[in-house]
Amino acid sequence: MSDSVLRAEEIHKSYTLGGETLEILRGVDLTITRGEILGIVGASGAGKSTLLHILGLLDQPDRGKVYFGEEELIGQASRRRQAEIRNKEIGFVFQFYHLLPELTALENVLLAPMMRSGTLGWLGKKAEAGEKAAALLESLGLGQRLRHRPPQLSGGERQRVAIARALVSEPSILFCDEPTGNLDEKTSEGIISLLMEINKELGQTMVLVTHNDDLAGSTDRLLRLSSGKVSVI
Amino acid sequence: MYKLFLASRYLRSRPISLVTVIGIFLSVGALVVVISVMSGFLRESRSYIRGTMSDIIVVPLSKLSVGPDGEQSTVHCNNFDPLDSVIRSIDGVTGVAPRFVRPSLIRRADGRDTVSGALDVSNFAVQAVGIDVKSELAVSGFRDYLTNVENFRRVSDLDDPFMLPDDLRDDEYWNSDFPVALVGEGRYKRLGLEKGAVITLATIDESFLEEGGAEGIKPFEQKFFVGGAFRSGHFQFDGQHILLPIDDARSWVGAGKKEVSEVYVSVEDYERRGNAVASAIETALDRVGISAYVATWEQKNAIFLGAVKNERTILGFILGFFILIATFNVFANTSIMVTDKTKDIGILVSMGATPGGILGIFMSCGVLLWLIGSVLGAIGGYFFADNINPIKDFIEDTFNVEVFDKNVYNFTEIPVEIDPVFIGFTILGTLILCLFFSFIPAFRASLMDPVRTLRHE
Repeated sequence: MSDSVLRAEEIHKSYTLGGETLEILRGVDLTITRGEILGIVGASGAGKSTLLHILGLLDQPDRGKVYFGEEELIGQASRRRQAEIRNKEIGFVFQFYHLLPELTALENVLLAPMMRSGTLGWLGKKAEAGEKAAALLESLGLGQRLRHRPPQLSGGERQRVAIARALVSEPSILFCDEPTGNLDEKTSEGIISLLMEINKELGQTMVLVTHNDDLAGSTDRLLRLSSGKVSVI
Repeated sequence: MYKLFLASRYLRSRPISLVTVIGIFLSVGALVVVISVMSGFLRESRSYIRGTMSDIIVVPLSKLSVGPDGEQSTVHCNNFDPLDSVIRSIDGVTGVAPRFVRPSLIRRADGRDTVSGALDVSNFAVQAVGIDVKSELAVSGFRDYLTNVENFRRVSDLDDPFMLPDDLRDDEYWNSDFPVALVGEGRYKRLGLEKGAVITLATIDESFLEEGGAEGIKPFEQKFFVGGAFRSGHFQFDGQHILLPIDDARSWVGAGKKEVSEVYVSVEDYERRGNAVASAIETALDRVGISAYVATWEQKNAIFLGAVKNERTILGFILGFFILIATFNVFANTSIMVTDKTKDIGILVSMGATPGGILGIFMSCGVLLWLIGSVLGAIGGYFFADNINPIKDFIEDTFNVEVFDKNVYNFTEIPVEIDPVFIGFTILGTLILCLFFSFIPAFRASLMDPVRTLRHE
């Protein structure tokens, strides 16, 4: 138990669409252990992203509990505490990158550290945080792209900026929602190997939701979400 | 920190934000300029009116008296001596001056009026005011009136203004014994007068005011030497007033030696004690059976001063409404921004932003729009108002148009009074409006479901 980063118990979630209630998650139990790469696969609409959002504290389940370490976060923790966990302990990588187009690559990466600093605190940390973010982007092959805005970057470069943004706070867990879903095959391969490398070198815990067989095949543990329940493949 | 940072980036990426800033800038700037000019106008108007009047004016009234046999008679309370002694007994009174006033018609005695033929009342009607020089000096700016005019129109002796040297007298009347009159500069110029010229004043006696008096109207006509001009700075006063020695004014219409039309009173520390002293005078006069209308100079000019204040308030209200419209743009701007940035809201929440943080980002947009628009507007308005006369001169010289007609108000330049407190309140008011208008869409943004916003296309 002490090795678990995140634990979900009896997660239920349903949506009402057109007067009809769809039960997406029907009592999902899940434990994510430190350093592992957990893959979640399933058909479209099976509830993979919904589960990821609940685990990542972006969405609330109808029932069930989510523990971060030993701390119960769903149902017990305040919204502020959840936001704090999202800022410091969780990183998100989305299919469509979701970078802020008004900011440069470096500024996108710096946003999370900036969020947890007050004005004066940030002025004191800015230089150090900037160096760290620039080094991270350089390590991901974006040394020449620091001052570029997202529209000036290729799809692969944007996803690498998104990965850098997720990693800059050294999160305990990284949630990747179809990180290669919007990329061509060659670029996807690059992103997959990058994620694997990050896991290997940093021991980064990851949860990957994917349709990509190569990516699914690279995970330590693979779960299938079907009929609202997860099963080990 | 990130809220202001993101807000500034969002605004920079939307050129339409500039329209909002310009709107706030112009409306705040216009309000500052207009209110500064109106305040200047009010100050100058007060100052000009103030200069022609004493602190308190007492107008003795006639009253009806019923005798033991039931017969009614009118009692006049216009003897200066009892008025003088009662008024002087009031604590705070520093000077009392009698005035004898008659509405009159004026002409040059030689008939060479510059205005002739046009029987417009303004060409002939004046107020002839008999004054006692010594007393007058204590209650009004009389001495300043005399020195305000150019040398060639100035009286020959400032200590004895109703004295005219023999050599200046009109040739035709050199051996006449006419009293001396001082003519307001406006009228002096209109009649083409010079020192030593002779004017004729005509008036009627007070029987006209009594029942059936119109049938027996008795006209009085008197020639006066012009001793010089005076300028109070008040356009109307200088165009309509003729000053005479009070004794000559009385004898002209056969009035009693101590008769007065009004009494000018000066007060120590008027701003603080003016109203109280006026009330005390009224009570004291009433106690001794003298009926009189007592008013401070402000009460006597309440309609004019109130009108100017009213104008200032109305203009402020209208321009304040423009600020309201301009700040409403903040609402439109922020609302569109929230819609455009819906997906960003989900991204920011995923990175740890709280609903309060999202609220702060979009309210910061309103604050930045306010900060740039209103502060620049206030600064711009301040400098425009402060330099309004050089700007007016530049426009007049460049485009050959008259922006400000000096003759309308008799001001030599556009009066301006910049009130930093008012500017501060304007900036504060604009901030409140910007906060209110940005709060509505910002609050909507803070309530958005991050999962839905991430799926937003």
